[in-house]
Amino acid sequence: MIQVHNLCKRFPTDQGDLLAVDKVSFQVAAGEVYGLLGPNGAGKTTTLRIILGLLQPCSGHAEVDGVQTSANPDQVKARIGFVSAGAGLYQWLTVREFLLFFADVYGVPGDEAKATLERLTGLLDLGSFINQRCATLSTGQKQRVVLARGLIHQPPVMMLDEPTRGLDVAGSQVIFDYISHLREEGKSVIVCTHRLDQAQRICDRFGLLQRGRMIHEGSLSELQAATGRRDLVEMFLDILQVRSIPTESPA
Amino acid sequence: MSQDEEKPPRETLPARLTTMSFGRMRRLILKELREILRDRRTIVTLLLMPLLVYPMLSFAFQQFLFSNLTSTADLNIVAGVPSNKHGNMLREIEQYGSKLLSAQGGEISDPAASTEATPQRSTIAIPRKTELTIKVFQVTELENALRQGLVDVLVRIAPHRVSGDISENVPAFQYQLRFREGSPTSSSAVEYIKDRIDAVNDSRLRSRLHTRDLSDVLPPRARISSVLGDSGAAFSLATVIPLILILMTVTGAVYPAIDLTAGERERGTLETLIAAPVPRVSILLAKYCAVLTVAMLTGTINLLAMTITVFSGGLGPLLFGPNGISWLVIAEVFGLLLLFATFFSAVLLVITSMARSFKEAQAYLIPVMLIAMAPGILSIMPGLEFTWLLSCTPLVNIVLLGRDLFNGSADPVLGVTAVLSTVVYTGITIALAARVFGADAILYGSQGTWKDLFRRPTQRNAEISLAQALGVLVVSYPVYFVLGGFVKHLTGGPIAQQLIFGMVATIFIFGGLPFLAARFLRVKFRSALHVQRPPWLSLGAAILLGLSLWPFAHELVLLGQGDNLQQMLASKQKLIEQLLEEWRQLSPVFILTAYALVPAIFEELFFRGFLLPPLTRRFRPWLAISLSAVIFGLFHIVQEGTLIRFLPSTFLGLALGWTLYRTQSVLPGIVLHTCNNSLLLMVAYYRPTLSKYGWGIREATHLPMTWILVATAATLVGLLVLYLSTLKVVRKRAPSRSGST
Repeated sequence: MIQVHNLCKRFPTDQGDLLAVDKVSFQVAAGEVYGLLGPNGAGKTTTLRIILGLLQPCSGHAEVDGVQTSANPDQVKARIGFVSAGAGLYQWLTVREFLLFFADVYGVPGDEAKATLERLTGLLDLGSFINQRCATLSTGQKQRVVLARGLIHQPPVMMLDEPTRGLDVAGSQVIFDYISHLREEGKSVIVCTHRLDQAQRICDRFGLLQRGRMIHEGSLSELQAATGRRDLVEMFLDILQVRSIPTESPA
Repeated sequence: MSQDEEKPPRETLPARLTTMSFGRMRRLILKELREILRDRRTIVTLLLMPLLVYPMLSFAFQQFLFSNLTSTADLNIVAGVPSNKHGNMLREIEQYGSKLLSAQGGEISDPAASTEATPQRSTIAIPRKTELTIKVFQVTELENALRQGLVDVLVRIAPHRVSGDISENVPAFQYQLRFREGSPTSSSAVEYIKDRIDAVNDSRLRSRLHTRDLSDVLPPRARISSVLGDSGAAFSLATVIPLILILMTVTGAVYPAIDLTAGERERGTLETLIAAPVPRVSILLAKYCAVLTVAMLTGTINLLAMTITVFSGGLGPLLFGPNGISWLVIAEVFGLLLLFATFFSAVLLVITSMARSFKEAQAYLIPVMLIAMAPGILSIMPGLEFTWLLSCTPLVNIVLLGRDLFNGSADPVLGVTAVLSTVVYTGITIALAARVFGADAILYGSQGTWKDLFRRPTQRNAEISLAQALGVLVVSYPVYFVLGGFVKHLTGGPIAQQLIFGMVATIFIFGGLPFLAARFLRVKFRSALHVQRPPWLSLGAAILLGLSLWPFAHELVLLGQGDNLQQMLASKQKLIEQLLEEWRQLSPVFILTAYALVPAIFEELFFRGFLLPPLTRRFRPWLAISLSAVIFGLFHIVQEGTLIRFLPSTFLGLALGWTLYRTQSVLPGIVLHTCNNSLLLMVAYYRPTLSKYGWGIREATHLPMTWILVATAATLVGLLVLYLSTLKVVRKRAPSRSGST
């Protein structure tokens, strides 16, 4: 469903070009949750933005459902639900107006949009504040609205960038549970998160990025075999070159 | 999954996404309006500002007027008279009247005085010292002296016979006072003299009533009329109205422009919107409509507040002449407001789209607002003439049009040119804004610079985008205008030289610029300009259409111009004949190359091959074809310097646009365009020979009905053949190009 081939992205800076993404390649199949993980500045968000067509790669390309992003960005955008922690809401619109507006932007017919809105309202528990202005919502409520916005056009692909940033345990749990639900619906999901415990629980495969390069890629067992570490936290600390004490010797 | 196996998630998805319906556009605009009109800060700008500012401005203005008129500087007024005798009589009246007024302790006015025009009488009593200078002019020079501002009031004293009066045999005089409209000094001067005449009149009447004595001289009467001053001779307050309009529009449009662009980026909603499958142009158009609406709302409320203030403050005649503020004046101000808002909203959007934050946008806008003041101030400059060049200069054209409208001296052709130019500039500015809006450097790159926006793409592209095509249009329009003006200056030189220069200019603008753009944007020239083999039969259809469309274009010229055309052609008949004679000295092949082949090839490459395909990818085909046809028509207005070519060129543009849409190649269009131009040229070239056989065509008369019928039949056959020959091409067309015409 998603194919990324040798993506490269440079940003000009005062000190010369910064290589934010360096020959990154991976694939995500339908019904698979892919954890794109790495420390801050590893290139996760930039990779997602290139896949979505918001940024042009310097070389390489991304495909979604067989459509190349650089060739037809609008077709790719229509197939992706994008949820970002930094995404804001239109503070003067109500939640209902906000979601229906985005349904319209994605070309969803009115009746279909209302039906999807009803379904998402139940699933994400939006009912109590659906007619409230977005400016009045709590952080958890806002994040649920952002998730609903990404799903309003029922895309086959979801990309979630730090979807639980700033949320409490209960709020995070709602989001991660829903990501698992997306897999059951057959969607391809890429999730970037620092909640490694949750990532380990819900993701089928992982890509570990460091300074724009893919360090390790594969399922948890493949990563364990490659790194000699048991869980993602330890692998991370290794990537960051922070000494850690393994709790159990590798088999 | 390979490209061939591509399956959209829903069957109707591509069509819904690639065409921007009016309904979706309307909903995009409504969302922007909801956002901005629910914001309290908009309401403050919208309602509170005009409600507070205008009454305060009115008060300040009256105070200024009062302090100005009561300042230690005396008011010196100059009265022009036709002879010393008239001067003496006026001096007597002035001295006697002043004496009476000072005895009464104030100014008086007789409401029954005979007036054709009433100068502004200030609502404030103005006690001050006035010096009246009387100058004698020759009778023929008097009017000019008043118009040019050499005198403030014109006084003629004529014997007056009062019919049926008991004093039929005693002398009576009528004082004819003429003043200059829109000049406060002139108004004050006529007021000053009239007050003295009225005082003498009043005193005489009282005296007669008291003594019942019928004097040997009847009281003088005043008759007041006005004259329009020469432009710039006197400072007219109406000239500041364009300046006030700029302020009004800017006040209303600034906040929404910043909020909907830089504000969106700051709040993190811009990325979400750009991540949606909506063309940036559409998002920006919706924002533009919202900014324009708020600007117009602010403008309307300002206009309302200003009208009420002017009306209640009695400033109408001072600002708008003796008739004060009328519905026509309000309509004119509103029209100008719309034109200002149309252009300004686009400029504001392009500036604020470059900003990454609210603060940055505000910093960018300060110099823009200062620059915007400059054309406003231009309108106050005395003697600045509204010329052809200035009518195409952005912003200055609207300001000068406004000034001429208020002075009642606006030229309709220059006015239409100013409006059309402004519309074109607005479109171009929006296209530029769409390129800037949501660009990488603005959206994410805090390290990015504006240079990134003009950076060459790293990868090859299959097609030119709409923003890129319109970007080239941005450059080509002024270049075309400047080079067109240069070619006109060559008039008088050898005709061959003019034609060669014209051809070089055409090749450079319509061939060179898209070629350079395609090279820069890494798009193959042939694919960028749709230079590919069409179905053979479509070329035959193009020839048929090229030979049969001209009668319709001819009738459209008549429709657009009517009787004016006959007058215009009559006035230029000699010039046209002279030009045709010069043509006939040259080879017909040369004429055809210069006026038919070269324009046909390069105009087709530019308007159809380069510009139309990006439009059809964004809009419905009929709308895209119409837009390209109107742009084609507008270019021909600039070329000819008259509106005469707009309708026929737009009509031809429609046919050529449809031809490209069907064939996906510029070649049939080139054939059609060449045939059309060649036929008309050869008819003109061989007119003397044709006339011998009774085949002459007269420009200002309708064609015979048989000609029209034959042309209609040939056109229908041509269209049918073109349609049938391109069925395969249309079927093969990429799925994103939905719909058919």
